[in-house]
Amino acid sequence: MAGIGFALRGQLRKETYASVLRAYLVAGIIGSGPWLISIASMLFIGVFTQAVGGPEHVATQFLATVTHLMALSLIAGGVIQLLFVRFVADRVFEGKASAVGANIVGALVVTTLGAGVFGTAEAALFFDEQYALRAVFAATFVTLCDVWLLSALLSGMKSYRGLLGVVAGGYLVSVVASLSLARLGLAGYLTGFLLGHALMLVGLLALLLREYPVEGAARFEFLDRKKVFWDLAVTGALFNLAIWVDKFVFWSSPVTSEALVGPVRYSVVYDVPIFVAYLSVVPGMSVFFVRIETDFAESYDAFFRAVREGEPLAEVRRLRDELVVAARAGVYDILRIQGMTAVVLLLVGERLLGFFHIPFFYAYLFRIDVVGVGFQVFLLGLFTILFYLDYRKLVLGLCALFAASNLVLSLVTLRLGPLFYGFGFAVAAALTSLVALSALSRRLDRLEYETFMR
Amino acid sequence: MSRFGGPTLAAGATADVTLLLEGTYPFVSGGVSSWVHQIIRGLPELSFSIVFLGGAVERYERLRYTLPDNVVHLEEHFLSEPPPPGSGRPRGGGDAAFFDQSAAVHDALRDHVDAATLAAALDGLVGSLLSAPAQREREFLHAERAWTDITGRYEAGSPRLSFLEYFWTVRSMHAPLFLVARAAARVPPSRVFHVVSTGFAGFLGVLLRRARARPLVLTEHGIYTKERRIELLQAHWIRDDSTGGDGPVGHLRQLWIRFFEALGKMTYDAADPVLSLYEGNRARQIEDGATPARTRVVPNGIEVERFRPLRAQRTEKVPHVLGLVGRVVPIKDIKTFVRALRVVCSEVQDAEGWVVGPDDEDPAYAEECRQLVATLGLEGRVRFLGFQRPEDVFPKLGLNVLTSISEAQPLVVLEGFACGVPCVASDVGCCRELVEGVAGEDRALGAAGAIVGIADPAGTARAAIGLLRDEARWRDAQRAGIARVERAYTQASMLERYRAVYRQALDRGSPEGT
Repeated sequence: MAGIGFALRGQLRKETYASVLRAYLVAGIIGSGPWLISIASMLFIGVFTQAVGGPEHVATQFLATVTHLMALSLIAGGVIQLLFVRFVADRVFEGKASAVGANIVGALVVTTLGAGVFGTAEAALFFDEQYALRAVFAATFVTLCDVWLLSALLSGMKSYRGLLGVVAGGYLVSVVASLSLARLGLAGYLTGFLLGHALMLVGLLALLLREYPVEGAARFEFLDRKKVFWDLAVTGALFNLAIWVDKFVFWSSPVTSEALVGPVRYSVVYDVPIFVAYLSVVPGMSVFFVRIETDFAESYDAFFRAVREGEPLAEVRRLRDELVVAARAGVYDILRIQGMTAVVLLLVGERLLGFFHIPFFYAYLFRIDVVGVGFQVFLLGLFTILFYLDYRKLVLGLCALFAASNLVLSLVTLRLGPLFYGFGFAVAAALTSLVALSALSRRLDRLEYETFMR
Repeated sequence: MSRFGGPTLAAGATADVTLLLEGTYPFVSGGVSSWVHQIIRGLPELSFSIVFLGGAVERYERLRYTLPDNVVHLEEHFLSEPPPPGSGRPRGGGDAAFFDQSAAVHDALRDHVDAATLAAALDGLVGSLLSAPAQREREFLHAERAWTDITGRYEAGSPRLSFLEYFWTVRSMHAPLFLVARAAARVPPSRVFHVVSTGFAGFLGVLLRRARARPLVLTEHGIYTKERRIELLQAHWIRDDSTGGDGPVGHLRQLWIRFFEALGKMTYDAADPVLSLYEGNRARQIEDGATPARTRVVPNGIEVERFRPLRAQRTEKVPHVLGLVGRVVPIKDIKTFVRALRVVCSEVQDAEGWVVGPDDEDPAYAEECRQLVATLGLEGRVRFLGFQRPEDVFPKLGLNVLTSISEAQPLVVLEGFACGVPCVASDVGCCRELVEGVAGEDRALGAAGAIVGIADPAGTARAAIGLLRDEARWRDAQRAGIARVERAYTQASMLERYRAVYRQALDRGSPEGT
């Protein structure tokens, strides 16, 4: 008789682990790391201006404007960053890397146009300064958005060395040019800053296009619903929003902040301690980074190779255990190193602030911020592992939790008064970290189940 | 319900008989399909529903038969179609009772327990499966309990096997069962269910027997489990390794074979009567677990009246044309026919070979056969005529050749007899009974041709040449064939027996309602 044959034979192969393995998004988030360099640079400009007796008021305006630009560009750029990095990773995984170059150009076009409209609108509507300043403001905003996109791509490609070189070079130019153009006022400072970033943009693009030559005209396949994960657009924006929302809360209140230029506001009490505190992430980030790139990446590859190549379950489980050990080691290393850093800073914090000529009364807030920032690094580590394992929706939820709790708690602490400033951010970061840790732990415990049955 | 334009049973109506068909009528032409068509047309006083189960929807383009007026309903289900979008992953570990029942059935099948114990285990499982088939399917795909059950059986049975292959084998074989369960929930009311194979259609019969409390009749032409077994042993898509220490048959193949054996066993237990075409298959059914008292033989019959007049159309001289009337598929072993023709053509000057049957079912195989014809230099001597009406072909044949590696009771042999064409057939199914006679009176009629070995081109050629060259022997064979088919294999007697089978089942079924 004519049996149905085995139509099932196709089914056996239909679901591959490609979906699980589709390359990593890892450093997309860590890719926002270069802005650490930017904080350091900005602090240096501030300290230097003070030290040489420069125009301190203009320098403050400049730093606040740059901070404002960074915040907005990171949030706006977040919309395309993760989405596009994943798009590129997927194409590379599919062996269709030839289309990547043209899509990078396309992504730059989209980012530039989008950021251009946004930046121009803000410069036109919220500033009443000279046109030169407004033009530089808008141009800087666009350049920053482009730079975030490209640097995220480069860290996604794991070209850390090239990335670091270009970013460091760009900031060197920024600092020198800003200080040299200082006598032209705020517009001068910003022009110097823009110059450095424009060079950085060119450098990053050169690095990328060397890897992915452009064939033909710009392509916009990354806007194709079927080829990208739109939730990553939301995750990218939410993550950056979560990090910045407490600052916006304190900038929005006349009690804690003052207007400087156009929409740019500055919170003396809130901004300085937290930005100095951000420098404390360096030890935790580096340690985690090394862990992720070595032990964890290796055990991740080994686990999924075993799954894909049909090892016996016992072997899959053994490798699962190794992966869990590597993930735990990475996560706990951050906790340990970041904890030690925090302790040290809590002890010597006042002296450190003194070094930056920051008044002693910030020390209290600084201590809270060191703790909060530590949790943020911890969270970054957890997100990275979750992205490795492709729990995109979960990360989206965690980013939403972080953003919402940071907003609400910051508003509450603003009400409660100066003794509570900083607690909003710290508690939000800690809370989200704990939720993320338990979610990750649960998934790691039954990773084989999740891998096969999810 | 039918996406191919078949009728739909009116709401509130009940069909007399619902035929559960896997991969045959009305979408594929062939022996089983002709038989189904015969039954439906021959019993116009009964109304029939048809539930068709197919593999991939793309393989079935159109109805191959005009449905008789007493077909009141047609619906198709395709096993390769993805499940309907559900609410995603089930919460928690899934329905514990369902998994317990499933484990009980699996254990019962593994341990070959008695029919009553298996029936009791199966009863619970079928109940919870039918109560929410889509939900059960999601649980099977995503629940933690499904995972622990699958890994538990893996570790107990084959812990060194590729887990990936094991896992997807288990999923692939069970997925169609959930589709069948979803189909079972929607099959329109019927007084009797009649399944024409075991396998997935058999499982549908099992579910309907339990859910509708209606009699289930089983007719097997070939033995489904055996055919699957042959396919599985040859299948290249099973990535079995012989390193598992499982003997000549790898563990994954064994899983599949056991799976189909289990479906067979369940179907045998649920069906009464269990019908087959000839004694050999009846014995096989009993061996596979059918209760002997329920088994019966109802041989195929053909419409002899249709073929009788064709005898007059025959030429005086025996045409030197060897015909293979059948689908161009591996199971018919067309290649042996072609190779036999190589020998026949070199001995008999004007010999020709005709392959008469559709070649679109396995295009790759058909192409291989054509290439073999070219390689052997038989262009012009061996021709592929595609599907033809038997009435147009048989009068022109000198011999009806059947080289199949598996058959049940091929109607084409009987049709040839009725037209006055002797037969050279491989020793499969009941070909020997048809050609040489069963016993006694039947056997005394003489040989209506010759029986040869499977995949034996030389033997086939020798037998064919022997008949073609000895006209007296050929005439004797013709006479024996005509006498045998007129005596024991008419459609009228076959229909009469099925009328009785349905009548008994209809009487046995409890009143419709509630």
